[in-house]
Amino acid sequence: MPNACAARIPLRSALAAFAILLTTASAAVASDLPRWLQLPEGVSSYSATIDGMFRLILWITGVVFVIVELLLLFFLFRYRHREGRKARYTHGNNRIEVIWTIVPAVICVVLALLSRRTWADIKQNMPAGAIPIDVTGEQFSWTIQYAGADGKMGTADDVVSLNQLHFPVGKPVVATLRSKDVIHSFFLPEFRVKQDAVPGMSTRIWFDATRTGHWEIVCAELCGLGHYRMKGFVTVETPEEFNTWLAAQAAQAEPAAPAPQEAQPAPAGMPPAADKPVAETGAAPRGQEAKTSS
Amino acid sequence: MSTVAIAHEPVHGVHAAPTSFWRKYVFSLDHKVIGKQYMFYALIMLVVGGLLATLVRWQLAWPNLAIPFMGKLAPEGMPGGRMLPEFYNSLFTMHATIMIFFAIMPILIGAFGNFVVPIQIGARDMAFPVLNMMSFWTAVPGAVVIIWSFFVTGGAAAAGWTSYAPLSAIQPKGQTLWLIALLILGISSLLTAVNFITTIINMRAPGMSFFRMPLTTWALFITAILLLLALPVLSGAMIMLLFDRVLGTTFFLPAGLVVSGQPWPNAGGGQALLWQHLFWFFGHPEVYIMILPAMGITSEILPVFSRKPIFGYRAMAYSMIGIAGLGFIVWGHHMFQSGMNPILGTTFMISTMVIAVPSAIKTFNWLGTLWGGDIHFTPPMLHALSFVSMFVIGGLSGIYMASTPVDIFIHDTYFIVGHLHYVLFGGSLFGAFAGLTFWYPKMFGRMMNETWGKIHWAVTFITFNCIFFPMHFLGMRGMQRRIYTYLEYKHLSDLQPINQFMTISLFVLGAAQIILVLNFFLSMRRGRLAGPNPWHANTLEWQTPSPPPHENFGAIPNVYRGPYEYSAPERTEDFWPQNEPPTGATRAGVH
Repeated sequence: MPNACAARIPLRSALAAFAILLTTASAAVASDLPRWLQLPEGVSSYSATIDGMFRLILWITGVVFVIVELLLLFFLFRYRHREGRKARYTHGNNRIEVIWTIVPAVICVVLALLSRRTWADIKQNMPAGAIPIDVTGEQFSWTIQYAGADGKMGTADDVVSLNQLHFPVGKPVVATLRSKDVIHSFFLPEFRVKQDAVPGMSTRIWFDATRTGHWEIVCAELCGLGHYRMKGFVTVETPEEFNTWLAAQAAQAEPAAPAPQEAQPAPAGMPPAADKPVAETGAAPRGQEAKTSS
Repeated sequence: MSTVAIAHEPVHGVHAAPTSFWRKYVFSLDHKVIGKQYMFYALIMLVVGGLLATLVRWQLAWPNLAIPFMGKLAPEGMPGGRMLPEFYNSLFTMHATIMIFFAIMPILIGAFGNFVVPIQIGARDMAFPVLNMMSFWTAVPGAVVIIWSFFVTGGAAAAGWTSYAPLSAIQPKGQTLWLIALLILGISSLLTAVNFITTIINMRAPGMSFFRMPLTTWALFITAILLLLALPVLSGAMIMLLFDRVLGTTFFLPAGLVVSGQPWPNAGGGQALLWQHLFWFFGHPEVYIMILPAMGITSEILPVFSRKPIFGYRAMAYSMIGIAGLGFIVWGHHMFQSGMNPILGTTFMISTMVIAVPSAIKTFNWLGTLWGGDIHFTPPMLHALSFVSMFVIGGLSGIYMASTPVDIFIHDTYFIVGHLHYVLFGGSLFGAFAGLTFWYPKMFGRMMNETWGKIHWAVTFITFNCIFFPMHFLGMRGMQRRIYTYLEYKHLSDLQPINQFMTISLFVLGAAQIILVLNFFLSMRRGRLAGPNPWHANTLEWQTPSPPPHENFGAIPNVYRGPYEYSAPERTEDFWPQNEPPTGATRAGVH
């Protein structure tokens, strides 16, 4: 009796496992991933590429995970102690060692090669003709500087705003990140942007938006006691709206550059940024929650 | 055989068994006593680290909800029981520091390494017993200083366990004590590393060639080499940071630093990223320092309770060597978003993807060991199996952050926190529980209660997953790590229920550890007598009484075969001790 079982069970289980795998795989290809396995809505032109990479890894690791854990459980069940059972006396098998060395190596190297291209497009190659901005982090706020009407940074007509990042939809922005004090990390979750702002360095990063809306800037690197509230606001608008906003900022901010942080005094016309998200830029259209909250 | 044998004649370097209480239990030179000392040290610090984690999780589940008694216990950090952000930062910093340096490393290396390695290789003690005693007694002031740092002005270190400069350079005094404590501990670990390497190379019993060594010893051998090569880099970096803090140097302080509107007095010429490079040059081997011993323990336990030779013994040893080598060229994957040149990021991505391979090899070999076995579900086996299944999750989740573009999103989010806990708790700590329950009979001569052992395992395993698996989902939603509250953010404001679930699971997990503590202490008196070899295992520590006598063996054993000869067809018994002479050969014939 044990012999018959021994021969039948693995084959049947293997077939069953294969069938389950095939079903899930085809179901998955046919339909989208469930909500809880997805990243939040992506709103930059490269967010879809990053999410695609995430999804590919999710599939590969998911399949490996299921196979390994099922195999583990199967072995535990199949080879549990029974009176009179004697374990198989084997020290291994070189051929199978070679196979399970090469297969993961190939998968991992392919993943690395696929990632390389995306990475270079996002972090190495800056797009031409982008809108330049400067982003400076300090405990615990973001200062954002715009080129102003002449399109050049570091001139008299530059516009400075505190915690308010505005840019037009569909046009790339190149941000130069700096920090006054400690390391911060400029994180725009929905744009799939994250780059540390390091004191003593300037780091360039580009991003864009595929639609208009309102989001938040997050600090992702521990920067002190107020790290959790080092928050800013992103407003993506049409080019006309952006230009109007920039002009209005330039007009308002003539005499005053933003004062140092801590109390976070907002430039005229803007509510304090540390408040609840409701207190956003007064001029901005509201009602984006349905679209952005994930 | 003569090439590997030296200290097998009990003539030189032998110390008489101490008789006084101080020499026997406190300032002991005996590796077994020192191992136990490390174990109690680590278990106490494990409780401290766990309580800190409970406070962290309390704040995440019920932000700003007061815990009245904490208002009395920590009036500065939690006035009226309500947690302040800076205290929260101290809590997670100290949780990680204590767990990594004061709990996981001491229990895996200090406790199991010290207790098991000399007996497993058939030695009477470590090569340098006095140095060994110094290792432990250097680690003690380290723990005193780190606990003391909670009580200084400004509280304990709050810059994260990674202590990124310049934040760590401008923090209050607690950070200085943090540096001093870890520098002290660094000396202790270096002494241990030198001792292990010397012992394993020189003190193996006759016949104990490298490829007859048990995999626990292999793992600790490689761990010791990693410690020896990586730790001085951290110590050097910490001395530089200490100088930046107290002597006015500027190793990590770039020019033009302005803190709270005031120019920082000593700034200029330094590089903030230099700290990260030095820290992670140590920090990544450190990850393997904490996982390799647990891998060794798992490789030890699976064959014993599958009654089957380990699958691919040499592949196991070589993959550990591979991990050790590659572990030194992957540190940059912690710095993909740091401002390091992105081309360098690509290089580190490739080496990081490659280091997944030896871990995969090990996992498949563990599965191969179970295949066709005769599996006994004892508590050590259950913990070792948990190690395998949880390490799979921790290993696979590592691939997400190895991919540089995906890392852009998940870096510094709870996805990372989930990943690292699957490796350090799911891996290292389950490995430690496995080792504890496996060698307990050898350490104390009595068996732990098996039923309670299984209950402890089951509750820990389930609640562990309830706490840490959801972290991946939090990370996928973009929740940053190290934030005092996520309710500030619109996109995270609905995450409170899942955080509450995780925290409640942690309470249950914590309560389950009381079972382990009770089982541990009550079994010392009440447990069934173990006898020398309760698990019918092959390695040398099981071929001597439990607990082993002073100097471990009556006569130094001769080793005739590898450590995992289980269920050999020519034998009626399903195990074959390493020192049992082959039929026909006499002891004298081998000498």
